[in-house]
Amino acid sequence: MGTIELRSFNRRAGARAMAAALLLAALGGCSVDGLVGDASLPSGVNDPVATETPEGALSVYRGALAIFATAFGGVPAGFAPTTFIPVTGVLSDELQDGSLIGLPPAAFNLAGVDIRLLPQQTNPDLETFTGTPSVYAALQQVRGQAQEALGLLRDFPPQASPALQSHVYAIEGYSEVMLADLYCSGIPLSTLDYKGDYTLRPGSSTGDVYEHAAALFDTALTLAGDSARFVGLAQIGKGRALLALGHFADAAAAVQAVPDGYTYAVRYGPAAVPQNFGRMPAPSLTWDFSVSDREGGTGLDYRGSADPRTASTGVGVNIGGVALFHPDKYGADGMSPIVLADWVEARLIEAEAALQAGDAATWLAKLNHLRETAITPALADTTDPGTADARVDLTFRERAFWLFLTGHRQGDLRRLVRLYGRSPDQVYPIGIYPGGGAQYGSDVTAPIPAAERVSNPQFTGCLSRGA
Amino acid sequence: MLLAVGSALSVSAPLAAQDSLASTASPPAQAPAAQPAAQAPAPESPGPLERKVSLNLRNVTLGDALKEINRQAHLGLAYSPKVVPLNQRVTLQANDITAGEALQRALEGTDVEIQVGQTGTVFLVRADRKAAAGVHGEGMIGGQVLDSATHERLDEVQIVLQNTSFSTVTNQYGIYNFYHIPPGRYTILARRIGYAPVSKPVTVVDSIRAEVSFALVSKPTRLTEVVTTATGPKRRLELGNDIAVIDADSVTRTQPVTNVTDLLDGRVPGLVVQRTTGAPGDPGRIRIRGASGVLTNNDPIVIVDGVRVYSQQSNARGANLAAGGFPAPSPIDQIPVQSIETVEVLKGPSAATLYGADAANGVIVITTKRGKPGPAQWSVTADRSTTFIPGRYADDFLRFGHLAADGTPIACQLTTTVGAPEQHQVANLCIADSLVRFQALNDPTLTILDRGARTAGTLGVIGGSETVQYAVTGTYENEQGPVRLPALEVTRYQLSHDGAALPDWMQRPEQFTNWGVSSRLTARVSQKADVAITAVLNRGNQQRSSLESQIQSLMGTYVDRTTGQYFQPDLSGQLLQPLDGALSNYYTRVTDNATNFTNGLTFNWRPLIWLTASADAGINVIHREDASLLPRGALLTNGDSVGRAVDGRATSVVSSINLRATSTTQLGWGLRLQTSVGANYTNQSIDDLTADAFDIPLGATSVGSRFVNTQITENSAEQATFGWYVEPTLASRRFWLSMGLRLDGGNAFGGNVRLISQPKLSPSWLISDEPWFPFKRVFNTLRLRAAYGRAGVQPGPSDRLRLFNSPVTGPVDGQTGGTTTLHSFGNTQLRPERSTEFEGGFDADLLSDRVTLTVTGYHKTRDDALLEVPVPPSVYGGGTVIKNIGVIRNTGFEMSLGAQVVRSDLVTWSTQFGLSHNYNKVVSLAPGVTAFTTDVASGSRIVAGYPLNGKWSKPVVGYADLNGDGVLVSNEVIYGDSLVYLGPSEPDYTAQMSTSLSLFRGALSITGDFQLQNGLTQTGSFSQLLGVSRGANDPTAPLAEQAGVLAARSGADNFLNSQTVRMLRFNSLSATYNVPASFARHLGARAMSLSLQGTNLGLFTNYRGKDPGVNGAITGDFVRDTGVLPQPRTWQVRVNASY
Repeated sequence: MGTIELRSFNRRAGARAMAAALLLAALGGCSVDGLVGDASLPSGVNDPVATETPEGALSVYRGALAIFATAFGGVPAGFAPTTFIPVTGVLSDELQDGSLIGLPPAAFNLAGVDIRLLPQQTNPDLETFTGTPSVYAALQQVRGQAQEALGLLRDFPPQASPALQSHVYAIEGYSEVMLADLYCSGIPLSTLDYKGDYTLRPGSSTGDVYEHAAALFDTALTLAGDSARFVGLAQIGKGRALLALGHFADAAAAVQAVPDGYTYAVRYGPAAVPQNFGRMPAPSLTWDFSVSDREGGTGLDYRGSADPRTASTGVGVNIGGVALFHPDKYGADGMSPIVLADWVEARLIEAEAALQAGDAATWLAKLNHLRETAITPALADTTDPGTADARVDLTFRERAFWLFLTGHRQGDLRRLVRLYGRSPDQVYPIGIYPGGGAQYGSDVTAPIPAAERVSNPQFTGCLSRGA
Repeated sequence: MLLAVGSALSVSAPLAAQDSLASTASPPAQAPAAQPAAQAPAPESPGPLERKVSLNLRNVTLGDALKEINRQAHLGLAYSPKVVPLNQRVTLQANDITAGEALQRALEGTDVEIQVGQTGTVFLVRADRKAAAGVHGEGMIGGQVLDSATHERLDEVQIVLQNTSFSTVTNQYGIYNFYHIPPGRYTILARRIGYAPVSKPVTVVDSIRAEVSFALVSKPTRLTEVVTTATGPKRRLELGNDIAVIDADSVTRTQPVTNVTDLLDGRVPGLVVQRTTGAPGDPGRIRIRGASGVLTNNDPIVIVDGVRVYSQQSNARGANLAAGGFPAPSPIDQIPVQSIETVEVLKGPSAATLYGADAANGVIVITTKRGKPGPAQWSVTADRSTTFIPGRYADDFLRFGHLAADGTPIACQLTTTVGAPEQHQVANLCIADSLVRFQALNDPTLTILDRGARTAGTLGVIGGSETVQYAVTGTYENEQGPVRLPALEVTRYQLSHDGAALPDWMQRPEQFTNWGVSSRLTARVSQKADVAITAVLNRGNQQRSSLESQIQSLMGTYVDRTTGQYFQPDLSGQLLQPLDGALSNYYTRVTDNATNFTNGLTFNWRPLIWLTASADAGINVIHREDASLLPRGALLTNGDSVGRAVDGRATSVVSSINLRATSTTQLGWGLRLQTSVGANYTNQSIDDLTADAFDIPLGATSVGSRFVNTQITENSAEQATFGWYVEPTLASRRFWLSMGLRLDGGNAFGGNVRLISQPKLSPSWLISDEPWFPFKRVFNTLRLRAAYGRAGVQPGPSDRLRLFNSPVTGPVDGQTGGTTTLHSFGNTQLRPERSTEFEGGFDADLLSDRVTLTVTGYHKTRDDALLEVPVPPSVYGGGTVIKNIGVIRNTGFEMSLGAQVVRSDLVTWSTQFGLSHNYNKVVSLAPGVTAFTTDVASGSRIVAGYPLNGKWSKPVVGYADLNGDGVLVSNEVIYGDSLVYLGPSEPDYTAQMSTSLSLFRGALSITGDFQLQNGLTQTGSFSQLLGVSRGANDPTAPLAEQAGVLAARSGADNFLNSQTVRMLRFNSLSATYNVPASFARHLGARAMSLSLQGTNLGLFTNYRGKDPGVNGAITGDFVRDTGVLPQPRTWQVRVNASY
């Protein structure tokens, strides 16, 4: 037995604690840095520094073009084609949802869009479908990517950077025009600051969005330099925006310099943007839509007219036994380019402006100029129907046929209501929905998705659901 | 103060004391039970003072002389420095004299007298004390207290002279003394927590020292349980936190528990299990004291025998990686529950600070069974059970009609959407023909619900020698879920597939097989070191199919028996299109095969009396093979059935190292300082790869290397954290104060590591042992405690960065080159989030230990909470950005009450009741962060002043049947424009009650438990079935139901479909009969029991759906019942035998 007297605080206590600490330090605390090391980035992503080079700027620029191509008429890999051209085609009189007509509602369809029932609530057709970005999200993503690209092109300029910036401004402008064409008044144009944060915006009216787009096209024109391709793209875009605003003369002026033969088409290929609109991903290439014919009684006779501009071919029947028609202007391989802007549209804008100015002769000449030169073999000249309304009808019919399935028809139908005083029931499909028994609804615009309402405090909802 | 001379390590108390532990002044009958023979005194042993010593001391202090005498004679000398003049110089030279003589010579000239206690301890007392006592008519009582089993001297034993003001405690040698006691008869009480109190009568005679010694019988209580902490095992008494301990071995033997989640569910106040579905193998998410975060998940961390294991259940990996719509089995449930000895639950930062940064959501410490010295003891368990979905589903309605104009069949609903259908209604264009009630899920020919079955077995062996012990447990279970393809559909499939036979998985898709082996080996390397090795291997195979998801559509399907036609109205209920069959999708098989391996090594080293050190090192590897398969040609409906196969391969590896050392030293004044320091390191990596292929060849069952349309996605991440800590604990006899500080770091992109400091403080006070404590008759023990602690979580390594997707090369706009798109927004302003918790409470044993009561209140705050905030689509199409969103708080209390209602030889009835309340609140949001929605489908939002992920909806403000036709249309309902709060996503009150009845001396035991939850706001599956709801079809439906339908169609759907739920579940019942030993022996067993057990035996709830306890939201913290499989009822027979 030892003998320990505990008279007061044992001074060895501190030493013992220290000894224990030193032991631990020796065992484990010495080289934690070596143990931990640097973290690695998740796979599939790049440090932003990697983009901050001329090559990086170029890659982000191309990213903007790729996203736009998808949002416009492509199919996100592995997902359904709920992008701008199919959706606006289904809402208007161009297309019907082939998986719906004659059938009970399936999990994948654009039922609400086709039947014009788009209540201001969560709408799976326009929000997301098994991860598919909605048209709204896709077009807004184009705007965001464009803003990133513009920052990089400015700060890390590759060769011919101003022209590329012009291209990006124009693409951003088109995405805004498309947003304004499809969605209700009150679209937020939030911004993504290059290298910085983002700024949320309240909803802008339809007119304001077109105005903003026109300003973007103006900027594009100032940067385009001698690039005829980008100049024409910006000019037609500006003309389209001004036309939507009812500024007919300005619109005509904007496209006046677009030469005959000019075409800007969005290309689709097997890699970055594998499919064009309306087809499921390769290799199935299934077609879930059908070209309409006098849809709802008010729709145009895209099939019945036998017009080569809207020719279509039967591709069998769906499981409800309803025949489906595929447009001839797009190949079955899903790789056809889709025209975004061309001289035909420029001349159509000029024709409409002439009609608005009371110059029926110029109007008719412009229309017939196209029929004679824009297609082979040439179409027979059209004649003046003589009345104002009929002239308007002819103008829009010509636009619908020339611009068939290029994403213009929905904007045109809204213009007919907004600028020409037509009622929605005069221009949009009405009556009994084909095969389904229910009646068409009355919506002419899509609501802003709920995701915007619930996460953007500055956004309070659609300002108007009218045209 | 009495000082003792002797080594604390020596246990060589004079053996003569063993027979004389009774008071010398008390009758022999009061002597305690006879001591074991092995401990009896040797008759020839000399008394301590007779032992021989030889001394050669010149001019040394008396103190040194006493030490030398004590060293040679092993006297266990005890004295007070106030009595003995230790500095007095003495010279003592003698050979082979007795210790008594040596002491007398050393003490010559002093007024110190030698006394020998009953236990053989030699006391030096003041000679005049005896005289003084005689003079003043006073006596003295003294003695020693030992553990009756180990004979260790017990310190801190409270000694009370009852009905007097005299009380004291024993010193570290178990010795106590009372002085100046007036002569008379007294009762003296000795008590110490963890021992049964003993009282003895004593008579004090003038001037005589009466000796009363005690041998206390150990009686462990909840407070004396040893629990595992970050710094090693400690008595619960010493901790300021409430730590729940589940005796898993006992529970699994007597109750129908199949996995770790079952084991935790309803047994820990404050712990809530969110079940996903009732499919075999499906997980439950564990929440302890509420949720505090969204980005940083709310899953507790799990440690198995010192090894950190992968335990995340709430992120994307909680779902099947190949078919995200299905949950994957929980990694926690891959630990074989039968191999577990105890589970301890540390509930929050106040308890878990030293476990590291990610322990803010609590820590679950699992200890597997350990071996025991002795021959191998085998145990065998076999289970066989049947499962089924209890009860009936509520009826749905459909109002058939036709259009007046052309007779087109249409569903003539009462309340319809704005626009054309309502025009039908208003213009009487829709003519109602009939109203039908139906529910396909209740129809035996249509339903997919059937009986399932489960078979399970366990084989275990425990044994070893004094130096090496082992425990090995093997488990196997196979379960078939209660889902079956109805015969009608089998026929339909064969007709459309040229008579081809359906694969088994299409007909009985739900199968779950799980087997595992767990072993633990402990070995004593030397007297100062031991080592333990744990190895756990588990393999789980889960199979299911999309047939499960048909519950939702099937409940809205009407079958016209006259025509054989099926109708499934769409969401707006307008279209009446006959279908070929009731089921549209049962063609996708989903499998999840997981192999889980955990290996750990623990090394304990006691190099010095005052220093111990230990190290844990381990690795946990989980390899998953997830797959989904839609075979080519399986679809009935169209010609593009090209098939799809998705294969996922995922591996998680968690490696951890923990080092700790603890020193203990006495400070004097009854204080002891225990200092622990430690360091730990955890590295967690995941590596997931998914291949998704369309257009697969006929007969292919997985993704092949030559498939054309295959898309590969990869997800890998690695994160390491390290930390070190120091925890000094100051302990007195009744008070413990533990302080601690931990520094945490982790890796980050770029390697910039910033340490976070996390302090803790926890006092614990055994107030019932205070001499002045006035309620000793009521409280056997009363302990007050409090704890404060903090834990912090760093953002992810790359969360601050704005990242871009790696370039994809391909032609864009006619140019070939890379295309780069934005991957994540990044946030350079991110700060670590910090969780701070304060808890306080008490533990009490009352009424002769028949009642135990534990009450704890807590206040847990998470500052700078990290959250993935949705970014509106107007910014880059949407997405999320990580922000420090503000402050989230959980406040609540937990109570646990245990009572032995009847305690007799024949019958024992005990009951345990637990109650907890948690109030969750987003206290404030950071500047610039406004309220936002986290889950649109369930209406979950984050709003300051309301619970995290609380449910919100636009309300119905009012309604009135203006035209008196009994049917509401949209203009008769007024909706609110602003969202209103509906309720929380987690229950605010939970309660559990378990009761156990043992009859016929334990031959028959019956246990049952109930669970109660209140306050959970469930978003129900009926939200998907508006078209067939009564409110939409039945003209006699209450106006409120009609208004709800209208509201749902006007954007206020959650107002109708969300419901704040109360539910009482009769969770389990088990009756176990212990077969007579003679019969068991006849079968070759030592013991055998038979059990009949049931689970989910009753559900009493206000919920309008089927089961409010399931959750279709597979990840995150949302709660949604989207028509998933409810929890089944189980009846099980179990045989248990040991050999």
